Amino acid sequence: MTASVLRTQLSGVSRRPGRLLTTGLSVLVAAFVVFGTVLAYVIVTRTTLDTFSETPEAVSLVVYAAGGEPLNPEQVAEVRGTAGVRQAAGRVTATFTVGDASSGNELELIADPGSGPLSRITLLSGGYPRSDREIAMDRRAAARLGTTVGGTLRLHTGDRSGKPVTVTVTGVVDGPRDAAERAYAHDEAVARISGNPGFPRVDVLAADGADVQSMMNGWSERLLHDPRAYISVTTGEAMRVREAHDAVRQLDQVFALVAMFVAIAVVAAALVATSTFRIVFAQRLRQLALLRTIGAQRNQLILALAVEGAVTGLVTGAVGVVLAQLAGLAAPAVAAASGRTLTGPGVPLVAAVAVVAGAGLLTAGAVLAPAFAAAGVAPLQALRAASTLAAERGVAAPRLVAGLLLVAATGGLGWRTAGRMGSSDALIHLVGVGALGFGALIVLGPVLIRPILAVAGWPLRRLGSTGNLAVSGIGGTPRRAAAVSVVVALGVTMLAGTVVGISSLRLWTDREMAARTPADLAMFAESPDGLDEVMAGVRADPRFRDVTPFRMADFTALSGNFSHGAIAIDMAAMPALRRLEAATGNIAALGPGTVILSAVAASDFGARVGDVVTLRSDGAARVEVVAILTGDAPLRMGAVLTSADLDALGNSSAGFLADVATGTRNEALAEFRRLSGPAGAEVAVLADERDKADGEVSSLFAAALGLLGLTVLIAVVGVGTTTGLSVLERTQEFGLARALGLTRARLRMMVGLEAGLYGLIGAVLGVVLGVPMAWLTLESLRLDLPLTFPVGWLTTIVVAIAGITVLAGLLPARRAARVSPVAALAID
Amino acid sequence: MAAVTATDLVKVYGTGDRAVRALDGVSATFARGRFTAIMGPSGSGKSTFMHCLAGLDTVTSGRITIGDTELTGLSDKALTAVRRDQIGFVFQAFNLLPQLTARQNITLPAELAGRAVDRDLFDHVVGVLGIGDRLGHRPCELSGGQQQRVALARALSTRPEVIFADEPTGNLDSRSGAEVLGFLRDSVHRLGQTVVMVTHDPDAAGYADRVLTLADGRIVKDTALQDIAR
Ligand SMILES: Nc1ncnc2c1ncn2[C@@H]1O[C@H](COP(=O)(O)OP(=O)(O)OP(=O)(O)O)[C@@H](O)[C@H]1O
Ligand SMILES: [Mg+2]
Repeated sequence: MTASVLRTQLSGVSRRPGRLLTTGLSVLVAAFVVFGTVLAYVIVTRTTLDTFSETPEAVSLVVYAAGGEPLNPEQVAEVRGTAGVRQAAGRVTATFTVGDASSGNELELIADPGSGPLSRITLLSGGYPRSDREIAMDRRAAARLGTTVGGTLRLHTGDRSGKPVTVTVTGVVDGPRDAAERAYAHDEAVARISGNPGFPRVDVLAADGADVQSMMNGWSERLLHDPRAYISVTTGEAMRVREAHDAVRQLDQVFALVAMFVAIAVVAAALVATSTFRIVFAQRLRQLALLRTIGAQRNQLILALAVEGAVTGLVTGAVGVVLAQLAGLAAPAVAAASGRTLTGPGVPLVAAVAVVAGAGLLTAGAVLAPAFAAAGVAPLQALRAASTLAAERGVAAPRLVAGLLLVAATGGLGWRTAGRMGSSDALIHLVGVGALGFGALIVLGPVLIRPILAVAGWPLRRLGSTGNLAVSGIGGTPRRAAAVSVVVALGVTMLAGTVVGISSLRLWTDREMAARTPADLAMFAESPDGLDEVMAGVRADPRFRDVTPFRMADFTALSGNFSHGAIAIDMAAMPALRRLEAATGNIAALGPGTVILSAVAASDFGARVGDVVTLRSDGAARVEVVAILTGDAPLRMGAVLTSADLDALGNSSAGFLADVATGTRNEALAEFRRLSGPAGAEVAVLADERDKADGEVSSLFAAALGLLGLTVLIAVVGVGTTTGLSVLERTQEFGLARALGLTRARLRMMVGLEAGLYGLIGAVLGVVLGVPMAWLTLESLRLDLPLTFPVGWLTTIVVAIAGITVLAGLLPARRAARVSPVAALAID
Repeated sequence: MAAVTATDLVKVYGTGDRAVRALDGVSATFARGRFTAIMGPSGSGKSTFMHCLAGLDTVTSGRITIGDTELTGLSDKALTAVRRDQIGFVFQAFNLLPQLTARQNITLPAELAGRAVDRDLFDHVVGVLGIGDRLGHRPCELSGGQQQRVALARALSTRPEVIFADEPTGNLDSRSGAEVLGFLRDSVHRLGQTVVMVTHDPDAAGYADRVLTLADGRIVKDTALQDIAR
């Protein structure tokens, strides 16, 4: 009997394989994504192991300090002097600020022999440095900082009071890519410029035929006992492998994060599968009822339906895995076409089988709830008319009770969480709140559909009968609508949360950046002579705007332990400065005898608004605090004064800021440099730092959107599938509507609008859930990020989701429009 | 003037060996304000004839006119408009959209056309059919007889040129069936409505003024009933 029940259910599957793919489309996509991620991991790891290395091939041995201190000069000399050593290159990187310390332009100075087997760079123009005060610039850094061969640069170490070092640029080189601006010099030169003798690491090239093993043994005996440097020796080969593995380990962390997003997408796929099978089984209700009538047991039906789910999962999972594998195998060829080398993923069979089996299990699990419901069908149902079946029963009281309990639990846990903000387990609590809230949404969804429709469907009803029909169509099957909308809501909740988080972060960085980099360009004059003429020239040039002069001086707070910069600038002159916000006090109140302090300076002084503080330098200024900023004062200064008070400090320097009004930044920069020439001044591109910070936030945003896109994609697939299946079962209804005078175009529109409504409802629910969750999360992180409600972004998300789901509904809509009016007359 | 005219209708399903001539040169005129029943054995082409007359299906050859609109050659869009504005339907089953209430089902054709509902006619029809207290319900909450009455109300409420009914009482018990047929006849005699009804049932046909009998896709008998009925 069980076998025959199974056969009746599965015969449909084999007769219509296309239907099976529709039903399991979400599982297919999920399997594709999961296995695609596995393959991507394999590709990236293999490629990294094959190609990544910071150690040149020729390096025979690496001597490095694993402790805090570097190898000292004597130890380096010892290595150099050992018999069999042909060349030994110290490796060290020192970071400097270029030009004026306030400009924020950073440069990494890296030790490199410049040529030969131990070098990692190639010379492009000029010559490689020979003496102590010479460096070679990386091509990109040279372009950014506007340096040419023969020019000079002032380098500051982190210490504000330290004297800058002036170096000459002797050449431009090409080196390994990195986000930072880089320059190169001989190891000894780097050590002298930075003032730190010794190197954390020395690369050794052994002479041909030298006994490497005995060299290692010798060093081990003589060097390894230094308890501060904690020196180790290893071969170049072992070092390369270790570096590659370190890089892979960092990738592991990235992929762990990716896996989390993929897992959420898999949950979405399971939800979609549950909803799809519920519809499929509902369509077969009369058939199932007939089976019950002639004596099929309930558990026989459940088993048959679960097996059908597993088969669907296995088949669609296998298709998804095969598609991902094909894409993975094609990846190296595609990459090669764009000039990059990737190592192919091979065929990870175990993972493939695991993903397919997982898809089968997941789908069988997803099918259980609908299978129980369907198997509970009363035999009498077989005798009822189809139109009666199409209508759903009302919402049962147990569902309402369970839903309200979940809401209460969510609220309770949320309240508890609010009480432990900032503690380490607050985040885990929040995950719990999210999961419970989502459970409540799943359970209460059918109840929420009608009220949401009443609001969200209102503009559609205005559209006339087509919109009206679409709204009623959804309202007539609230459970189905809820099931698919909840999946959309899952995606949108996270999207909305991310958007809120990112826009808070952006607002915060904007504020920070407004202070640090208030203008696109800055000029720092060494002497005030000629500055006025230069500034007049820049003012006259239409390429620039917001040209604002400033003067700076150093001061110390209290006992002289803390050194800061003070600036005199018109705070209302630049757009970025007008955005600055005071934590307390009023920025506009600045006048003679008063000061605005940065957050750090205020805490160094222990000062509050209204206090009087003394800034000491060559002279001193006694001023009253009128405002304290949330972060730095402009150009990373500690205090903003009026010009007269700044004069009291003595030893001031001057300069001006300008924004680029028209043209590209590089053109403007070249012109700015030309105009500034007479003042013998240094030019800084402040906008670069701002762009870098913006870029970081933007790429974070893009990555999050891309990963959340997976969940949204599966939700959209769910909307498409649900609409497609609904269309199949509503042939009679569409036929009748056509018979009564609904045109094809309007029928298509109606079906498309229904799909769009699934999306709209989900998006609205998602925003309602996601925004407060994001606020709670931001609060619990205690980062002092401002809470935002990015109306523009959220509206875009809601509109975009509604639009995409309309598109997803249009394919089934075409099918619906093909229904002939005669179909209404067919009695099954 | 005739409400519906059919001239030399031929309808062939399929091609080649499997071709079926469901209609084989049928001509008939349906006068305004008359109630015509179409009878005949199963498979004789009754439903096909009605579908073609109502513009639900296209004919292989022949001409059909409803009021003064010629149906043959009309685009799908124009045909849809003719159905919406000039024809009312009552089917055997699945007459109503399940997601709409009874009231919304009745006013649907007017809404599709973007016209205001004729309130007087609506109230009158609803009153006569006795479904005033059922207007807020969905079809699944109505009995079969009530559903057919709602369908009837929908068909009548647009003052169509003609109402086509295919086995309207097929799913009803004899009492509800008699009620529905009585309403159909009253609409003909009181409102001057034109009705064409396909039926198997001789008792149902007895409510009509005229009975057309089909066999093998041809009209084999045309009987006027008014002498017998009244
Ligand atoms: N879509 C179709 N394709 C092919 N043949 C059809 C189709 N529809 C009807 N037929 C054939 O056309 C002939 C007339 O069918 P029709 O449905 O009009 O008969 P009917 O008189 O309404 O029968 P019944 O009283 O059983 O409803 C039959 O032989 C039928 O098999
Ligand atoms: Mg028939």
